[in-house]
Amino acid sequence: MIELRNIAKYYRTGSVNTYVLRRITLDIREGEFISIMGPSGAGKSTLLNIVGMLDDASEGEYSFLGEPVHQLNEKKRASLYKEHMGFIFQSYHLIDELTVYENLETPLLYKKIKGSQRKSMVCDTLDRFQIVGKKDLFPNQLSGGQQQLVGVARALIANPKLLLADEPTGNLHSAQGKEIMDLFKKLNEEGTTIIQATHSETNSAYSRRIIRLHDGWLESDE
Amino acid sequence: MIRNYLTVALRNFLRHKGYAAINIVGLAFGMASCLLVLLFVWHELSYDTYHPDHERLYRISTMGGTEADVSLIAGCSENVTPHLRENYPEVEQVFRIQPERPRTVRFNDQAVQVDNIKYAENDLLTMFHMPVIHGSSTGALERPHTVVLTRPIAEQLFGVDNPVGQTIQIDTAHYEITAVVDASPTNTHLKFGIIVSWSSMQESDWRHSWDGGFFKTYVKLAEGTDPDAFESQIATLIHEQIGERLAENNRQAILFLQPVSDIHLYSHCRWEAEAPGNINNVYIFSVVGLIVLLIACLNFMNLSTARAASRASEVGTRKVVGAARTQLMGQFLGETLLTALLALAIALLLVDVSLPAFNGLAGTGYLFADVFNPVMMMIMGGMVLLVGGVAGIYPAFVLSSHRPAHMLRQTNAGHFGGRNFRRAVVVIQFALAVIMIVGTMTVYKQLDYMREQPLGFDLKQKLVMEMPRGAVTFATHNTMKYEFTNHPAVTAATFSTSVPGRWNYQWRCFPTGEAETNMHTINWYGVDRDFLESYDIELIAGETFLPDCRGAMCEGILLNEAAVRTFGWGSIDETPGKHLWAENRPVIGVIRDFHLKGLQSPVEPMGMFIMGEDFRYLTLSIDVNNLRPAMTFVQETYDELIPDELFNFFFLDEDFDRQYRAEQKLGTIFGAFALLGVMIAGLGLFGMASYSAQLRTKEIGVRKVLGATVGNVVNLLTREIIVLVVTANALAWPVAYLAADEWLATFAYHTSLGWMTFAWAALSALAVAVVAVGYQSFKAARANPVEALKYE
Ligand SMILES: Nc1ncnc2c1ncn2[C@@H]1O[C@H](COP(=O)(O)OP(=O)(O)O)[C@@H](O)[C@H]1O
Ligand SMILES: [Mg+2]
Repeated sequence: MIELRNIAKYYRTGSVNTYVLRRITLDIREGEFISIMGPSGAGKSTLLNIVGMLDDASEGEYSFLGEPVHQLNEKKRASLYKEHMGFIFQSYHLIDELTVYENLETPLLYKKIKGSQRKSMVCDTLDRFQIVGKKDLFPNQLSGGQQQLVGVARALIANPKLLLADEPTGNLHSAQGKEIMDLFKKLNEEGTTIIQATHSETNSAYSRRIIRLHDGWLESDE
Repeated sequence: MIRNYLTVALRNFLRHKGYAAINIVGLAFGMASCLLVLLFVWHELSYDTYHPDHERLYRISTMGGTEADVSLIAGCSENVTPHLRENYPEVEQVFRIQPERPRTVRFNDQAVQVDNIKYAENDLLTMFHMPVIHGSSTGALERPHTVVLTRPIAEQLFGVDNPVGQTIQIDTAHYEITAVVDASPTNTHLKFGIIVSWSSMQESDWRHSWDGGFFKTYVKLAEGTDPDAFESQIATLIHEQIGERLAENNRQAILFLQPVSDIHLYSHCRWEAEAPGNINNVYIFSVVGLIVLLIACLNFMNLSTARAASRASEVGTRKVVGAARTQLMGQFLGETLLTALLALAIALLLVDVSLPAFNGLAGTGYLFADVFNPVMMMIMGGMVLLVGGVAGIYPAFVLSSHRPAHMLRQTNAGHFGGRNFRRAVVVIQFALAVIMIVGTMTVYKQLDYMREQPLGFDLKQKLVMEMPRGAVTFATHNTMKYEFTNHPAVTAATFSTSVPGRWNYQWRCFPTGEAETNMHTINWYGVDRDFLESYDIELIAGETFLPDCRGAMCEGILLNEAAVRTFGWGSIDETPGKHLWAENRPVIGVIRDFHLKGLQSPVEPMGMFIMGEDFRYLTLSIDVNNLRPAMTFVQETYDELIPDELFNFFFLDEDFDRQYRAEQKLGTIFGAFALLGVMIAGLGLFGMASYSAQLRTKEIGVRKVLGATVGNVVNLLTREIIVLVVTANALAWPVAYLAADEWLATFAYHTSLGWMTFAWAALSALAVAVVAVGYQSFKAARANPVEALKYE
């Protein structure tokens, strides 16, 4: 599903290039549940963003479902992303001005899904995540766990093949974190490919494959 | 999707009410002033363009004088009209027109004073757009002693009744009303109160002469006529008739055509029907209006951009959930366009409210409905698109072009705003504001200067009456003066053909015995013997009029210094004893220059002679401490001596001040716009300050924890603004200096540009800026640092 070949990422600081990722080569098949681990600053988010097409690699090749992502234009890439991926963030990134319902609806709007179908999809998702009672609340009226639940629901609403989660439980206490992890496990069993960045061993235990990063280097893959 | 955008826009709007209000109200004020200026410009440009086939309407004017002293005169010999009628098939219609003095008009026991009486021929009613309300325009002005009333006069005398067929009395003569037409619009150079048939005009020697007698004459050329060819055909018409006489004293009288719709702005002939407009003012107002709009637009852009920057996270999130770049750009553009539309709605409200004041100032008669003509609507639409588009395009472009990972990582949205862009905006806004402040102050300084300058005569405490034609004769004028001064509060009375600030005779003369090329146009005042003393005009050489003279003894004339210079006589003392042609009158004395007109133009050469007829103005010197009894006395005396006419007077100082009306208007408009500009710029700064204080909450908190005082923090936040405003001044001063200097140079007598003007402009700009920023800074500086740091 995902093939990374010699992916590198650097930022220019002054006249030198500071490498954040170095020569990452990685294959990920459909149905996997992977944890990317490493200390803070190791490059986990950067790698996840590149895989999720939110950022570009500086060097290397990336193909997703056989498409050479590094050669695609913005429009193609956006539609590929829209079609197959969902993204979850440590700090949720919900739109503050929109209610839970409207936040969930937004990705469907961008996918140009028609009104009645959209409505039923949003309602199904609200049901599934048991947040029907919160649908008219704004993000700042929810607890962190609830916000992240909405974040997960939003990422999953259009049934993506690939779920990317960047420290999804980082801001949550352990009970809430466990809830999210159980959910991931269930999703994975239903066939969703999941890649999560985390530095919690507890979380990584849910996954079947662990990739360790250190200073941008791929240290181990087990 | 649209609903999703609108929801976000509206909630954003409500969450940042203050910011939104500043943004919209500022823009609304800018748009409103731009719309008003457009209305003014529109009005000025529309003069006499509403007549049927207006592009075929021309006035025939005369280029007269000598080669050395050419003058353009708004009219031509009365004989031209019949000549054109008979000999030129390309002249479809032609009429003459001649103004009459203000008159008292009566019907039964109703009486009104009518200022705008004109004699005219029947073609006027069909050539110019004059909707007939009662009667018919056919032949309405053919017979002698017929009149056409305009609606306001008809309503004053007859109410809503149809007055056609009734007889009114003007002075002592009776006239039959043949038609009523609509009131003249404001955008015509020919305005009417009552139109009297041409054949009613008194016969007189000066009519029916090919030489002189300047009657305003209008033609409508037949379709397909080449105006240039026609003009060259008639150019030498006068010379064909009286060429010899003109050649004898080197004079010319060339006829030329002026398109009727150009007269208001471009014609500067003598004896225009009304004071012409000024194309320069049209330009100045356009520029000033656009400047205010520009300041408001910059605000709008700036604040929109800043706000959009703090929405980086929303943009990033939208990208993450699948928004395409074009969709995001559409969202932002849509938002700014909508805001601009809202601002336009408020602007229209402001226009509606300020329209009466505007009409008074600009001399227009707009109704609110007039704002919605197709051209204005298109301009409004363009304004919204431009303003909204420009303000939206920057954030739309910048925000949507970043990769989402970058946007979401951003904790400090300020990085997206383009700090230098914002600085540049503040500098430009304040530079424009400073230019307008300097402009306003210069106009007012010049006005003060002109009003304070000694005029060379005594302007104060003078009540002037314009006497009806024929009411005073040489035989009665002395008794009349005696009657009017028979009260302790009236200290002097003097008759003259003119008073300063009003129309006066102009004749050309040259020194007897000298070459005719030394012929010049001289302004003439016919006066009585008390004039010099009453007006306190100083005699500096020779002697004044003899106390008592008969016949040829009265021929002596006085000249002013400017006339002596004009004739090139050099010495003032040797001037008495010279003679002036045409009538070979002896110059008996020289008077000190005094200002016949406002100080815009230099003192023109003028002369005075003892008047024998045309006792037009009676000036009474009044003791202002006894104004009330004096006025009562004067009115009673007038009613007794001239019972047929309504008492009508003006105070000379007020009347003379009308010379400065254009400058006063310019000052008022400039001042209003400058105030608006500064306020909008200040408002924008206020918005920016609250925004940047918000952005720097954390920095300020940390600084305070480290021991910064409130003073330190305020200083930190205001220092930048002071630097910016000072920069703005440095940019604005040279531009303002050059523009103001150029404007002042158009005045014959003008004030100088003091550094005080610039200092005041700088200080007021700085004050506005510091107040705008200071409040926010204090608020930020006084906030509890723990509160500030909690939110990171
Ligand atoms: N825009 C950027 N400019 C410069 N350096 C960056 C930028 N984004 C991330 N980095 C650096 O890249 C490194 C890896 O960051 P990140 O992928 O967020 O690490 P992790 O998620 O593993 O904590 C960090 O050292 C960070 O400072
Ligand atoms: Mg990270």
